[in-house]
Amino acid sequence: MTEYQRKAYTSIQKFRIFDNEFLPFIDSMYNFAFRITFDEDDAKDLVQETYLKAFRFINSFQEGTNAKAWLFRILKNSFINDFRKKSKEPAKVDYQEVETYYNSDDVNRPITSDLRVESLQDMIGDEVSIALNCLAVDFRTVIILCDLEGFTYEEMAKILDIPIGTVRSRLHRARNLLKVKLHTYAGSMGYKVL
Amino acid sequence: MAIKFPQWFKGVYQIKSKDCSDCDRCLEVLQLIIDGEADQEQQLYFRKHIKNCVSCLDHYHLDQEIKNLIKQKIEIKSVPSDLIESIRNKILETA
Repeated sequence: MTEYQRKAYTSIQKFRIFDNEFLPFIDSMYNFAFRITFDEDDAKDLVQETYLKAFRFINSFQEGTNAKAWLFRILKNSFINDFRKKSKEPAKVDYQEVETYYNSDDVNRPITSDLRVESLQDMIGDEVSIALNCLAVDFRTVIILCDLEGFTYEEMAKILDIPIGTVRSRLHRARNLLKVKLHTYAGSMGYKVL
Repeated sequence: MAIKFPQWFKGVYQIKSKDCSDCDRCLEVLQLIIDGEADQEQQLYFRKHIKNCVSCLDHYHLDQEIKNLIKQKIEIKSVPSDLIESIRNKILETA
C-alpha cells in the first residue's frame, strides 16, 4: 500500500513561491488591513504576521493556485484572532438592529428625494471613503473584497468561512447601507436630489 | 449610531411599475449581474425584464454607479517602504 505524502518544498522553492506568488499581493493586503484596522501600525503588523504565517505553512499551499484568496483568508483569521478583541467595534454585527430600522414605519415622512446617478458622480473620494468607513467591519469587508479586490462570491465564501448565500445577502445589505449614507451626503452637500 | 431609513428608501425597493410584476426576482438577479455572477439564463431574464421595466433599469444604473464609485474613488493606501524588508528579515530569521 503506497501512502501519498505531500512533497515539502525546498528552501529555494519556498522563496520562489514567496517572491513570485505571495509578495505581489502585498499592496492589496495592506490596503485591506488598513481599511479594517484604521491604523497604519496595526495594518503593518497584520500584514507582516500574515506573510510569516503564509511562509510557515507554505507546504499547504499548492504552487500556481489562488494565492490571493489563500493569503486573504490567513489575514482575515489573523485579524479575528489578534485584532478584533482590541477593536472598539462590536464583535458581531447586530443584524437584528439593522432589520428593525429597515422595517420601521416612517409614514409621516413624505417621499421627498431619490438618489440620482448624477449626484453620485459628483461625489469626491472623501465622501465615499467616509461612507465606506462608517459601515460595520463585516459589511465593509464584503464591499472591499468584492468591489475593490474583485473576488468572486465563491472566493469570498472561502476567505470568510461563510456560505455563499450569506456573502450575497451581506453584500446586499452593505450596499443598501452605503446608499443611505451617500444619499445623506448628497442631501447635506446640496447636491441636486429630486 | 442610529440609522433611520427614510421613506424614500423603502419606497425605492417597493416600487412596482405598471409593467413590472416581477421586481423582487429582478432585484435579486440584479446583484448577480452587477457582480458578474449571473448565469446565462439569469442574464437573458434580466435583459428581457429591463426592456419593459424602467424602475429596475434605474436600480441597475444606480447600483452599477455605486460599484464604480468604490472602484474609482477609494484611495488605495500604499505599502510603507520598510514593510517588505521587515517581512523578509523576519522570515530569514525564522526560516
